[in-house]
Amino acid sequence: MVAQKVKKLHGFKRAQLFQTIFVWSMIVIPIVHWLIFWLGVNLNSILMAFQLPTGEYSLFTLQQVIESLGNAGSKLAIAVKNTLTYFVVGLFMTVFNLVVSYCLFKKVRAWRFFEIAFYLPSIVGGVVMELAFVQFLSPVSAYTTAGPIVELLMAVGVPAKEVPVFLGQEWANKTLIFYTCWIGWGGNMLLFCGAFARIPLEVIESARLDGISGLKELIYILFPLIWPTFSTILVLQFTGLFGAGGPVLTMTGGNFDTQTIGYWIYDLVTESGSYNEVAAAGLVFTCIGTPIALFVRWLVDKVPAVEY
Amino acid sequence: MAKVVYNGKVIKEQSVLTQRTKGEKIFFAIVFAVFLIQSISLFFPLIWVVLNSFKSFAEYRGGNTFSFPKVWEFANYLKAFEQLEYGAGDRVIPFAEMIFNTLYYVVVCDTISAFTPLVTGYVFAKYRFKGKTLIFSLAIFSMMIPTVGTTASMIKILNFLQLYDTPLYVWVTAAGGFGATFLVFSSYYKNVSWSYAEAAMIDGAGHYTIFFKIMLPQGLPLFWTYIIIGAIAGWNEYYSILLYLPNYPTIAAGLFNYKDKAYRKSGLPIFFAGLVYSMIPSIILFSCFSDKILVSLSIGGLKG
Repeated sequence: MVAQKVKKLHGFKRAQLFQTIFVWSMIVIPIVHWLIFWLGVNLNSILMAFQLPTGEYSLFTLQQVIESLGNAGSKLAIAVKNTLTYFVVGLFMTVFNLVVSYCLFKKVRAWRFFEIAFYLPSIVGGVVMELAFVQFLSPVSAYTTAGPIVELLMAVGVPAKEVPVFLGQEWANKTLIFYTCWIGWGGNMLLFCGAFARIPLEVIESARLDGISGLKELIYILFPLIWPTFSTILVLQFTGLFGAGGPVLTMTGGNFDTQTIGYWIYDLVTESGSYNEVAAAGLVFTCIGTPIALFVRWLVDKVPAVEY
Repeated sequence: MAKVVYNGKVIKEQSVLTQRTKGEKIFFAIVFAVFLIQSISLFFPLIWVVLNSFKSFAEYRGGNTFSFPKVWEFANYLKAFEQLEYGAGDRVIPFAEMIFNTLYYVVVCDTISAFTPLVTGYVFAKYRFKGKTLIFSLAIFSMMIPTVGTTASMIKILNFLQLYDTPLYVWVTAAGGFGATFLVFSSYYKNVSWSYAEAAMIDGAGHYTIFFKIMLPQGLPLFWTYIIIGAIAGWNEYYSILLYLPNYPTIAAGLFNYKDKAYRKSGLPIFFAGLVYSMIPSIILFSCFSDKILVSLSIGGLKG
């Protein structure tokens, strides 16, 4: 009896051991990856923020970045302003994406075609879409004929001299924001449509029987049901606060005061190799962004999720 | 489903989703019109690029930008293959090599970056083990911290590991198992029944057998969705390639690099042909697997 119990216990321990081996063998690579490429990279970045390019430890780089942020005309300050603009546009577009996904979920006529059309920018890719758009807005020049938009404007009577240079000093930022909104109709569409699709139709049916209107259905019935998806997207958006940006690299190359923080980093890393300045700026933005992201997460967690 | 009855017979079942009041009918008619205009506006630049890729440079410069080509210059596509190149230092990388790089990047990166979160998602959804809460919390925490400006540090670490600008970079950096995809797989596997696994255990199956023979096949629909979405994204990737793999440009990186030369060197129609080359695989992939891509994805569960 005792021997049987011991055997059983050994068997249980053996099973536990096999399970432990299985679990750790499956997750060891992702954990090592996280340790190197998240923890290691971030700790190294913090150290670099307090270093000079020579490797000497100093607060100089950090002070330089903070000074630069305080100077409204500096490249970094302009980059911050543009990044925040893109972030606000992104928030607006997330709400707009929700409404678009609702209309697709409610099977607006040709919804399948629209789903594909709105997903098109993701299919053909940023570089193709952006370069096509640049050519589309192309002004009259020695090299090429005017792009279709410019031709259209001239065809409706706008004098050639008055046609705006869409990617010039005056219009570049507005054009980039327009582009971001224009191609952004399908942003988060897969996730929102997925969330809508999982809602039991009986819930909607019974609300309909109670005579609920479409708008109320969206606000009071559907929105609470897809809140976990919406709130997750919202939190992730705040986490990427200082990473927000538009197609600056392809369309303007950072010219005409269009640089974002992302572009500013790219430019410093690839052109001047100012690694420490990038790390110092990163540290400042991380310190500002972290409490904001955590506060938003805390706030969305206050809203109880509906189980279904 | 609401039934539409005519002469005592059910002629069609109408979904509650398509039942509309008069006001809603008007609203959805307006939505349809707006969506249609937006869809046309999204397709139009691409159609314009395709049309102009068949024009001669002279016709493109002098002719009507909206018109069909007078003479269809199919040779532009051959020229694009020959002329589009990427200058990386002293090296000139031909278009054919960019295609190879793109295929390598897509296959390796996509497979690993979809499989690893599937594995971690499964393990965290189905097993209890020491350190699980800590690891999960750290994974969520790292998603919550808006790290900015780590590019410089990443390059230094990649250099230290001798991975910077090497083909091995793709293998190693794709193996991250924690992130939004991990959450999606985790919530997916939470909803997969464990009873098959229990039955298999009674028959003597081990954890690896259960994973590879029972659980992995159940996760394949979502896995393939990620593979296809990832393949399209990977095919179009250029930013990280420019930063970390400058000597192994993909087609998108090559086109980005070539865009300024296009004006003076080969002419825009040939550059447009390059853009079309870049579009075709993604469009084919999407056309074949749109039902998998547009399948339900779910995300949630940031509460650690």
